[in-house]
Amino acid sequence: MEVIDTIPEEDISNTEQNVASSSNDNLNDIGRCQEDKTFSSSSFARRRVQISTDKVEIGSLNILSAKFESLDYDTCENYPFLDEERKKGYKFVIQKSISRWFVFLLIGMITALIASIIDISIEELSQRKYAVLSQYVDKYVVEGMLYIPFLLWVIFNVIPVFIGSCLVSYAEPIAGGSGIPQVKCYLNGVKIPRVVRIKTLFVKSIGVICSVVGGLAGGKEGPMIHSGAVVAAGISQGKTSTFDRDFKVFRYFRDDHEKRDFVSGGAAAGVSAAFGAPVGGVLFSLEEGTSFWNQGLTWRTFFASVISTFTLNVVLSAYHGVPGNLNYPGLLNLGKFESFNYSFYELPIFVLMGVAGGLLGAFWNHMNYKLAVFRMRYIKKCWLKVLEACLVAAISATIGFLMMFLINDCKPLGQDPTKYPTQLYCEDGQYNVLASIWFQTPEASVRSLLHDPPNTHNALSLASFVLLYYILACWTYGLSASIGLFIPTLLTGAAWGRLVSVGLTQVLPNSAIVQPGKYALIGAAAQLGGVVRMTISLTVIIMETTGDISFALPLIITLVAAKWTGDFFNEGIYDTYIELTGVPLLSWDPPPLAHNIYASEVMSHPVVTLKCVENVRHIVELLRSTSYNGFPVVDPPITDQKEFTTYGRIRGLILRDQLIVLLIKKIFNETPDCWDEIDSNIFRDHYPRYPTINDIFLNEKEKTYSVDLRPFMNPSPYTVLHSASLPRMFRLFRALGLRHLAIVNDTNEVVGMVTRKDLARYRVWRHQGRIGVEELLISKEI
Amino acid sequence: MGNRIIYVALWIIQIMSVMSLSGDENCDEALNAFATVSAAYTSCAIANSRPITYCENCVEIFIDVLNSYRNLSIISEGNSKCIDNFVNLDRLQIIETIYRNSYILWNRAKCNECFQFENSTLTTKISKETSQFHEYYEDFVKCFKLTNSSNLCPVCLEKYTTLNNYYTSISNENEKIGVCMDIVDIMNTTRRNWSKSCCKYRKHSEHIFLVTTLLIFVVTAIFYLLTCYFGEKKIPYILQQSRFAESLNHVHRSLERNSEVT
Repeated sequence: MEVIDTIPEEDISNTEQNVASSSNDNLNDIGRCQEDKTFSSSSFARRRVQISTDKVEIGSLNILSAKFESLDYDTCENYPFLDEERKKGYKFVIQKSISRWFVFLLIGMITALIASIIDISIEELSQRKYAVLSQYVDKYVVEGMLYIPFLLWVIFNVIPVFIGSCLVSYAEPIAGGSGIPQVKCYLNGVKIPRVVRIKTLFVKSIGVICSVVGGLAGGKEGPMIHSGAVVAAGISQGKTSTFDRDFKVFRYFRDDHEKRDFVSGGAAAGVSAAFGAPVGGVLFSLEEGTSFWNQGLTWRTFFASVISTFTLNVVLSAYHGVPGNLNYPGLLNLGKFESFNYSFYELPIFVLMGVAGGLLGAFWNHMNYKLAVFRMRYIKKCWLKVLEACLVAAISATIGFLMMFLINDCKPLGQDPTKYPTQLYCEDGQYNVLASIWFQTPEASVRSLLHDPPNTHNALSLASFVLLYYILACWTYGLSASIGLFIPTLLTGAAWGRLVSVGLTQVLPNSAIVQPGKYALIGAAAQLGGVVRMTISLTVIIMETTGDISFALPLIITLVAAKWTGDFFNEGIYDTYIELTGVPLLSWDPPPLAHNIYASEVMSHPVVTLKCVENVRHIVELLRSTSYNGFPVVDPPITDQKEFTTYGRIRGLILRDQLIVLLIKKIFNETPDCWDEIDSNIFRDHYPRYPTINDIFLNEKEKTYSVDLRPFMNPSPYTVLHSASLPRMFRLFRALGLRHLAIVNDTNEVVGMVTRKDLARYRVWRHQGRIGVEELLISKEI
Repeated sequence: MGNRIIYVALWIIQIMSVMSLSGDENCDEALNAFATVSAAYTSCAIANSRPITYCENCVEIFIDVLNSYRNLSIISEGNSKCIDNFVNLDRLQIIETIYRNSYILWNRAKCNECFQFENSTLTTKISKETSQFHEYYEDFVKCFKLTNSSNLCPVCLEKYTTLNNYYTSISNENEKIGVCMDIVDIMNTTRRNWSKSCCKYRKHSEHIFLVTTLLIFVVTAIFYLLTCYFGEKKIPYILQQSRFAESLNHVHRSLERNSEVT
């Protein structure tokens, strides 16, 4: 493939006309200006991928996958749509907005209900598990048969993880991991297949219960966010394709535009159920890319989040035996904090901790990325994935047991609340500190690290815990099990934060400022910021869980330091995973210094077009032979010369789905009977899963018929001139949520088509203080 | 004129408050009683602070404190009760504070668990659990004192285990109700003394356990090595993108070819 850089605007317009006129002189011109370009390409820091062969290694970050499609945020103003608007009138507008609020209410409530089911199941099951284990350890340690409780622990870990991992690997692979990258892509406008299906919700909920009960180093927060998104997408549609049931409600919400709005509300409700942080939830939705954002949507999203927290608290207060007491401190996710004091001279310490969190996070991301690549290359078969998950579960138990076996850190009973005091080799009346950390869910461990009184843990046990849990968390994330990384990251961070406070007490023994809980919180924030690199929402989420506004400054300082330090080396873990899957994600801003890249360079060139009245056989063959999703409808060119490229004048744009519905319903010019019952609902009934062209059978006679596309196409699609620059098109896509952008020449003839992938190909890279733009390749097979 | 009315009003209020405080002997008596028992209670608590025998030795005085405070709120002078002269009148609230401190101290030590209740009032009778515990404890102490330290462990192990098990059964640590502080303290001291001389029996060589853990690590390592060795590599193909510039090349080339042919 020849390397070509920018093409100046005049050259392009020249070349087009020249091709049309086929003058030999001008063709020479084209050749010459291409030579020039090859020489002048080095003036920009734009890294081009040189393709020597046509293959690439699996696991490279600069490949886009061809299998992802865009959501269509643009309303198609075709005749059925206009007809509907005219018939229903303003009454319909009011009805629609009322039901929109109702749907957001339902989203908040159901998300919270699912969250509380997950919460309570995890708590009940792990309580039983760890009670038995603690009892068995103390029973068998006297007899010198520790292998019995150890093997019991391994079995208790492996069995749930086996169930969860089987579900994820065999039933629904998209439900693996935390789900945040997928939700982020969806909100960005990429249609990730199967991400918001009810089957995914089942697998995700059961999977996360299994993984957390199975003792994997992970938490339930990410999966809760994903669950919220699925709930939102499911409820708003009033139908489920999985069970093939159509409840005939909310049909007017069946398009990508409305659905994506609801999903942003659902994700927010999920965050708010997971952390008890409604404002954090709203900001999460905002930060993670709901580009089409307005005041009304924000307000409704906030409503859903608050409802979600409220519902969760109602359920959990009943569960904790204080029904109706909605400010019961046990409902808080990270526990109730006493207010922290901090003074001016501590701020540098917070900055340093943030830097440390950034470094640790960047290293964590790098290791996890390498591991993910290894998994993509070698662990592809389902049974291998299940086996790996089970092995990691066994390793988790082994590491935990070895730690409490080897490090005999004993503390007297009764000073601090340990749920299952395990004596092991401690004296009577004492308990093993490490056993108390390991014999509870990671979430409860975070809580105890944040709240336990000073001197609960000694430095050696903390240090070894930090090291091993850091490795374990890194190993666990990316397994084929649905599990999030918030909690293990917080746990690692809280542990080293506590270690810092232990160190500070050595240096400043009399200082009242050194509160271990405070440093544990800062450490947790720094570590999490270093790994996920979220900014606004993370600060607000942690602030809301502490319930202390005055602690915002230390948190922001820490998180900014962590993010900047981490960004110096690599990207956040979610972005890394998104890049590994090759999702064409559009970032907030167009790439810098790209105003000299023109539509003519970005667009795909020979555009497959349809005539206004098109032959059925032609449509069927076109749909079979291409994978495009939007076809410009054009007037046929006036001259029809074979050897030169000619273009048709644009009349509209029709989508593949619309064509398929037309073919299914057999709305042909020759069959006028069925034209009476056409309204917008014929398109909505099949949404979101349309049949493929191979599912449609037409007899030979029908194939000779013709279709008039004009009533169904979008008569005014967005178009830009071929001289439009990349940032201009990028902004259009990002702000309007476009899926197709037709490129026209001076005479309004379609010369090309720009889709999301064409724009996402130009990606900014930042590494060690340098910045540039690289052009990505596209592959079908990742 | 206005000022004078205010002065008169203030004077009347002062007179009334002085009158209400003075001249009610019943109240004074109750107050003195409360002061005496509170002082006695405090000194008792301090005297029994280490080792903690506070619940057992101070229970009588504590009941006195409760009663004298109740008296304050029962005995009345005229229309108002004695306690109304002292409660909620100023921010210091001396009587209330002292009473609450005594009460909180008692509750924090969970002393109620040591004694029986009759008609939901505290009595000085020791509860069944406590007396049972003391029985076991005395058994153990007898054994502890009689045997010399060299063969202490095998001889007294049974007694100790009985005591320890009984303690764990009543302390119920998971539910956080707990037992009264006297027992906790006795048990803590006992355990400490016992562990100092006799806790070696917990340590054993755990060969099977260590080998199992090693095995799990080895199996995991083998898993990764095998997947790495046997995994067939898939190399995805790059999708050729159709671009305007390439179509130009194509046209260019085909035209060149045409010209060569002609």
